[in-house]
Amino acid sequence: MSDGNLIQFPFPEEHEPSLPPHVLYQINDLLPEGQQLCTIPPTTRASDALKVMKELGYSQLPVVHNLEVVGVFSHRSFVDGVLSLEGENKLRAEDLPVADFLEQLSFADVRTDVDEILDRLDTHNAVLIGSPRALVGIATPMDALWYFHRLTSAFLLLQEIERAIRALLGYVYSDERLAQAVAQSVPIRPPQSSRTLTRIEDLSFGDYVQLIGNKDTWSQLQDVFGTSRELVLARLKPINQLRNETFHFRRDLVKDDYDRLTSTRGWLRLRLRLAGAQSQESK
Amino acid sequence: VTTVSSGWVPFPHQRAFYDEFLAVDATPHQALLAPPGLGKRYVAQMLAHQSATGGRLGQVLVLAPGPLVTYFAAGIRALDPSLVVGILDRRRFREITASPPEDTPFPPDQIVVASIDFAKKEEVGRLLAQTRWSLIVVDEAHRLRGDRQVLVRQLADKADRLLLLSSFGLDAELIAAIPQLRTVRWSRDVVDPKGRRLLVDVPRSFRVVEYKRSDEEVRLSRQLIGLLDRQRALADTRQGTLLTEMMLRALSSSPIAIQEMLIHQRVALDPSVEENEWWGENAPASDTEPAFESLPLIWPDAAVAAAALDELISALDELGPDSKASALRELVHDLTSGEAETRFVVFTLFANTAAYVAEILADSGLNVQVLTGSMPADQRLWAVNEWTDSAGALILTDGASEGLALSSAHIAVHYDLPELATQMEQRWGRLDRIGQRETVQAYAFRDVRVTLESEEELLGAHGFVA
Repeated sequence: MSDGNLIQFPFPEEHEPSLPPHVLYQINDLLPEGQQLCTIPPTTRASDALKVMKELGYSQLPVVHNLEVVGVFSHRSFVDGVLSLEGENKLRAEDLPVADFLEQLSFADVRTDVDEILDRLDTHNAVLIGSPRALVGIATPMDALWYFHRLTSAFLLLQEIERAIRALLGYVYSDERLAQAVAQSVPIRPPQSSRTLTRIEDLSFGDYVQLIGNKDTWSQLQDVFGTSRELVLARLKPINQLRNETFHFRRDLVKDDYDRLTSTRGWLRLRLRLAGAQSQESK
Repeated sequence: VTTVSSGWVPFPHQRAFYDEFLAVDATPHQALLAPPGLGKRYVAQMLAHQSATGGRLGQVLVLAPGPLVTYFAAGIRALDPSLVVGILDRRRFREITASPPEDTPFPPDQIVVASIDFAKKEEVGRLLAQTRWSLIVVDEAHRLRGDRQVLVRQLADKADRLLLLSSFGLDAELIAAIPQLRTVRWSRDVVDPKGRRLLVDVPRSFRVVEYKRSDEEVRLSRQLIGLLDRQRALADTRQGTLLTEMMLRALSSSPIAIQEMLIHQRVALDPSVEENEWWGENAPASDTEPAFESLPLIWPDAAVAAAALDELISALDELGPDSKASALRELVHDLTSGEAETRFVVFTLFANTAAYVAEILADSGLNVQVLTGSMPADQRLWAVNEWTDSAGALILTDGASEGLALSSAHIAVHYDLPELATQMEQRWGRLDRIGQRETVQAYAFRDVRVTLESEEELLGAHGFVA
């Protein structure tokens, strides 16, 4: 027996490259994490089904018979059904079973591309995900809206943050003074040697961090960013990292990352408000 | 004799447990209780690997707290990169549910790792219960209560082998519910093949770094406490109390930690920029932070609260020197002067405090690595390796420190103290583990003005002051 030795984790670059969990966006990505499927039998009274829908905030309920989806009861299918009823049935529509008001929605596999169901969402307001005997979820236009929002919100937040930093720097620097501060703070990297950094828009996020992080120029920026350079850098450096990870699609951001983005955006809003007020006063 | 593959060279206590667990006549349900740092997770990873590849057992399920899921999976992959380690999340669950019934949901040559809180959901638990598991490993088993415990008890009935891992005791109900549960306890007396104790009883030293908060800091703290007290009078709910306690801990931690919490509150008060404008009910799931942290408090008068919050947030930006950070600078200067290769860890409660402390220390020209719970497992491992190779400071939150072996350092700076004794023991276990030969020095900070009573209580609770 050996002396014993705990194995060490390898360096990441020594890992076998693992395949990403998915490459193309699929309906599976669109369904909300906490969606609770609620199904009803065909014998359910329409009024009871409507109560359930109101309580859960759903617009439709799949109707299941013998473990198989036989149709969907929805606000629309109910209205269509009532319009087609005749005589006394029209008056007691809510007492009739949901089986009398079914509509047929199409099914899509969880691996289907998101694009493929957009038309169907537009036409039918919902698409059933899975198959009649294995229903996985229901996709709605709101799910699609939230999904596209989820995909884009990091970009929007980063854009707002970057614009806010530019605006704050704009309170301090004219183009001429900016060029001097940049020359003092931002190292010129070989591929950019011909680049002239004279306007705020020419700077990268990393350049902002360099500029703000420079001890020699910090005194010029305190009025708009606050007195603690460390505090500002502790805010902006992680944002720079998140920006790189987002724009280079290195990983999906998690809630903590979004919390960081939203709080930085909130902080910058306040700094902008204060800087604006100061600027007004000085005029 | 069982084969131990992948270059793993076990210590005797690990080898003994490994062999006993795999023995044909072994008790099917076992608990391995051991102080942090004796390598119980390694043994579990090896057992999972052996079960999936060695043809001895078969299908393997690992249940771990959310933040440890990718870490556990990475550990198994490190043993054998060719092994398929699948993480069961909502996405994968849907794919399985939509598959034809004749498809096997969990292929036998794959190890399945899932967050225990995801697995305890009714529909997920039902799916897991349909499989006859050859081995189920439950990490951090002392947390098995309520629905988590119900799930494990249900699955245990159908599993050939169950392995519960914990650094602490198990719930009495759980022990009573699992018949013939064999409990193996590794003590700190475990030895190497030559009979030498692996965990040398190194002394633990407790040192307090005293500093004095400035008048400005005290005034700001009182202003915040006054604001929170007014809120508490209005909403004396458990959530409100927990949240205000968390804010006081953030206040104690760093200007950025409290500022960020105040910004969350402020944003929620602004009718034109509600915090949930970004997510509503569709926020991505997080296992790393308690959800209540970003919940809005209920203020007696929203307009007054908004103005008070604005004032506090801006005041934090204009605050003079941070006396606690200055004390840290001095401490680190003392620790590193004359020592080119000093290696130490700094524990913080909040990820933003970790980033802030990194700025404070990097300013002194020190090599600094930061680990937080939201970092992917491979980035965390890379940062630890970097720090191990080049010394300096490793700054980490409790969520990021689980399972890490940091015995190449013997200095722990507790920039913030944890609330619970178990959390403190976890921190000790990062350094006071196999391989440690030095006195483990723990430093904590004390504001001699006692601005926050809770800080003083924690110093007493964790043995820093009598």
